[in-house]
Amino acid sequence: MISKDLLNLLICPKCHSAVREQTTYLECTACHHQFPIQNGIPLLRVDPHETLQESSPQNLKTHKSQA
Amino acid sequence: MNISNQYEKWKIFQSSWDDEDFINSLTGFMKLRYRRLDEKVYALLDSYLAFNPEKKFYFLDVGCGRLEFADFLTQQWRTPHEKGPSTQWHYIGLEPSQVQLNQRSLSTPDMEIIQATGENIPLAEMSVHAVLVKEALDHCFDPQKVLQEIYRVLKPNGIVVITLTNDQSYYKRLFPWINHSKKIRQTDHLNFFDANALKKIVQEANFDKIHLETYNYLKLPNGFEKYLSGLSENIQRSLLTITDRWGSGLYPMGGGGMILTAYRPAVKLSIKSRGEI
Repeated sequence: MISKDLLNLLICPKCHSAVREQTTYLECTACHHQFPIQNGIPLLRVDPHETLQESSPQNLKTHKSQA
Repeated sequence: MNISNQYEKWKIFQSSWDDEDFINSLTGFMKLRYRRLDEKVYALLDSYLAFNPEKKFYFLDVGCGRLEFADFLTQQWRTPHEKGPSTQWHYIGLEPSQVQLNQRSLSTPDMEIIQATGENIPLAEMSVHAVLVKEALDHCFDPQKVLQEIYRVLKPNGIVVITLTNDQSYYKRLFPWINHSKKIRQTDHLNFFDANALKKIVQEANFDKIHLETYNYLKLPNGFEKYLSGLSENIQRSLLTITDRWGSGLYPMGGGGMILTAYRPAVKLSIKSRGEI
């Protein structure tokens, strides 16, 4: 169980929305991604390469050309 | 090194990093160096609190490893404070490596751990008063992104404390070939910083009031350091203090370790003119 204090601070590392606690995991209220809780530790690790690719200039270019 | 090589290195050495071998290889003298570092960091946070008193102090430790600093904090609080610490600390440790986290669990209330990376801190904007990145920024995949994230989660006027090994210490400059061969063996270090590079990267992340100092001027071959480990702690401490004093006078940015403090600028309130009210 995660303390209420920490839960108030936690956000989804993928979309920065609030998370809510379910029995064994945290769930993002917006993208509904689930993050397990193991021995009281929320596992919210996102691969840094994943977010780098999202914000890389090349990718932004692709988004622009699609728009 | 290109991004995919850097990423592969991060995955191999950082996402499942375990520093057990490193800890076991430390001499008593080296352990004292780390303890002095914890004391310096604690003193900085303590003086921050003296000027910015908070009832509840939210503190984030990025790359908390095996919770060495959390241990140090609990030891500090056990030492006889007549009325106990006046501020209630809420410690949040952030560590990407599952292996490191498996070593420990925190049972102290108001101390919590999250498995996450510094590049994607899962905390709300302006949620903590202070952030510590102790000997961890050079292990990160993307240090710039880590600093942007720290800026985001810090409250206005919040403090960040960064400690790192100095890549341009006087002894590394005197013996560059030793430094070079050490770097090749240090597969866990993805980045290397000297004082200027560290200041620059922090400036680029828009931090304010940046202050950097170096320490650990006493560096001896391992055999000598093992010998020093046998001396009393007071003598060892005196040697470190005296050499730091001399060294910082002779070669200000040449110590083996760096401590940087910086602040997220306070919110500037625009003063409305009478006509606008």
